[in-house]
Amino acid sequence: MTAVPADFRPPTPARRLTVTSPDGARIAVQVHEPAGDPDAPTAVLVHGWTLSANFWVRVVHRLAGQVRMVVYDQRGHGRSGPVPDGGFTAAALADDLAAVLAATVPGDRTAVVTGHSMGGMALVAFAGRYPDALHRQVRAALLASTGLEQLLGRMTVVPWVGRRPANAPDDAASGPVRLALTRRALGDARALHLMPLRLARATLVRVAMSRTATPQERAYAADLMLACPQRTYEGFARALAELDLAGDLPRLDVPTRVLVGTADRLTPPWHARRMAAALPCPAGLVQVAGAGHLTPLTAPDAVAAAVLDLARRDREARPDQWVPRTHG
Amino acid sequence: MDASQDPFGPARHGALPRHVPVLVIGAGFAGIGAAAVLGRAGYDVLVLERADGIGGTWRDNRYPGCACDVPSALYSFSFAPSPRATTGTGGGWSRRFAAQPEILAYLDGVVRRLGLGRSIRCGVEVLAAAWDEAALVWRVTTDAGTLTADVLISACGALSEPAPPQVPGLDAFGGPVLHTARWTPGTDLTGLRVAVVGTGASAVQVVPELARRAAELVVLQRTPPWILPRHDRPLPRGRARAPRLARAWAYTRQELLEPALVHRPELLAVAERHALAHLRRQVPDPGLRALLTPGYRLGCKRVLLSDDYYPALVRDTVELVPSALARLEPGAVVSADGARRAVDAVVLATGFRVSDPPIAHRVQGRDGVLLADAWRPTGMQALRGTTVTGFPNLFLLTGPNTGSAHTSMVHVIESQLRYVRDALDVMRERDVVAIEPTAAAQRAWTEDVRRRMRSTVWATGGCESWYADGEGRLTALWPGSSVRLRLRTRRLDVREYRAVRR
Repeated sequence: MTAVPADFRPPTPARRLTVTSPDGARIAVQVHEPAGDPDAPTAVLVHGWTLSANFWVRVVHRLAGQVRMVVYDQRGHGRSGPVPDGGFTAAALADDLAAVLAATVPGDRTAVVTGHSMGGMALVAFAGRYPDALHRQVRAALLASTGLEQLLGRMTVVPWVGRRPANAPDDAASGPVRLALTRRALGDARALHLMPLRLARATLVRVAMSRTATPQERAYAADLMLACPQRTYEGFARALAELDLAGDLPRLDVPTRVLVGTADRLTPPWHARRMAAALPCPAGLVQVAGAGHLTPLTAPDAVAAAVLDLARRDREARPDQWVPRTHG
Repeated sequence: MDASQDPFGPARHGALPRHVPVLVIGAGFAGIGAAAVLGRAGYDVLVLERADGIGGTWRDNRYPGCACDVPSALYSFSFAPSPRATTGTGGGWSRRFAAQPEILAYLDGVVRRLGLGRSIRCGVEVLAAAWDEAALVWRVTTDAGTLTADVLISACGALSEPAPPQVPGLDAFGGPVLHTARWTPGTDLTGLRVAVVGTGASAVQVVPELARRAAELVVLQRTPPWILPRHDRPLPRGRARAPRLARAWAYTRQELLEPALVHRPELLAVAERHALAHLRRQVPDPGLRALLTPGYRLGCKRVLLSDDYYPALVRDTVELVPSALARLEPGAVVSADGARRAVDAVVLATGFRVSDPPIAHRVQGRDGVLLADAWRPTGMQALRGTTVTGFPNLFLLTGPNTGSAHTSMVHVIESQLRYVRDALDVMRERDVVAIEPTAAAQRAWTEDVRRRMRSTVWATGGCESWYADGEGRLTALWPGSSVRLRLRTRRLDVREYRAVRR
């Protein structure tokens, strides 16, 4: 018998809808309403590359009944439609987020937007493209396990080759050999699909997760990533390799908290520290000890606590009051 | 051709006789089998069927995708193992698992080929039957008049009366609400938003068909079923040349499942791995897969066979709601976990009243006791699944504890028909007018059955299923192999019966 733990079973959304992005991409959105609390704050959860709305399952379970949640599949992922030609850009992801906010956050309401990895990039790009919507609809933001620039150069996914000296910091920039290998390793879904399934799963888990991940978390994450269509995988891999959104970060001028796992190989803490330092309205940096890249899956308590904290704070409070007292 | 003028089909008009030696209720597999087997043994049989055609389950269940779950080579009468023997059209079964129209055509062919049409009266519903202790006959009331019968055989089937969900709002929905077993032919749900309630054997067959047609499909799931690959395929025409060999092969394969189901449920872990691999292959998304992973032992509820159910759930237009139906509102279904989905039509794939069959409310034995009342304190029980103390000359086909979870019900029906024929032979040879099982024999039989039931997966698997009645008693299934049932119903043991001589 094979009981699946309750918090890996996606709860039924109260409502499902399909939102159409300006370039025609269909975005599948789910809305979870807390029963009997029409005034509950709204949280929008934006997942990352190769994942889907179900990635948030453990966070959704923890926030259920306390906040209203809007969760959607990014273009090309999950139940959303395929990416139109030329649609593999951060700007398009920002358009998707704007369309989802317009459809799910009514005029008199605001939301806490949480972006994980490529979802965080979508959020920063949104801040750059839609400053009015940002001020009107976003009360606070959480950037979880994400980065905005030098993504390939800071990754530590390739073992051994071109490793830095032992005394260098964990996330120093890679040399040219290592950079080329990282680009090759990340950009090619074909190799992943040609591998024996067991090896493909092990590879994905090693790259995206840390040693502290449980077998259940590993299996769930590997399946999520393997379910991603090859075209989506490769299209966004190319976009991420060249991404630079550091210029948009100063425009994210709502209280913003940054969260990162200390053992993240894909977006090492270097990014988190850099973003936290550059944010116009910083609301704390949470470092989750030992966690890998998939923090909403492996550290759902920390992520849910951060969302809840941001959702419940008074918007008018001074920025320094947004900083959490303890770092996780 | 106008069916009413069909000379070889079942009769639909004319007065009922005043007395028949053997009266059978229902013209499905069991009723047709009774007419064939008992008729060949020289008994004068009349089959009354309330619908206006034969076929029983296979006439009622006309939903798209309806097919059998046991290989057709085995899901057929041993005396007519392939349609070739009955329809004269040449070929055998067209697929490994024949679809409903082919099975219904097969039954129609059996009726014609064996000349059973004159033994069957359609369009006559039995309203009540009472044992007349003085005259030693069954007095039967129908909607076309009354008649008497020496022997009454219930061939109503275990899965005949739909069980709609007990939820509010079924009348208030404002659109079509269809039970799969009462499907109106020609119902077209193309382009509509449809909700399917239930994920049992019928749902698994109807969902892939609806997913192709409906604009949106919502599937409400109380408990996920275990699903194994179906391996359905068209059969080569050559296969029809050796129907008996195909039948023996299918029988052997099905029977191999029995030891694990009945005696060693832990062996079913092997089948569970097989089913989980099937799920993994067909559902890439781990979230959806978590909702589809059962939390009880395979076999505890009916094991389903499907290759297209999971792929249907993966479609963008299909949503699985892992919750029971709470109520219907005008134009919407609401699940127990609070999700409300606007739909245009509702398909109830919610199964049948198995443990409280309607026929038990129409049959009165000695002293006017209703069969349903006789069963109420103890749960359904019958000696060798067929005869009931206090109800002389009553035989129940597919009676209590005769159901088969692993092999063909037609095989079970034929086992029971041998028993009934032997009983009638014994009565004729010994000049007995009425027989009735002793209470002691029935009690001993029931205790034996329930003792055997304890080790089965249906008792230990950790689920709630239609195999159990409202009190949790497993009164539907036979806890053993079909060979064992056949041996236990081979002959009438006169020591178990009380006889009345003329």
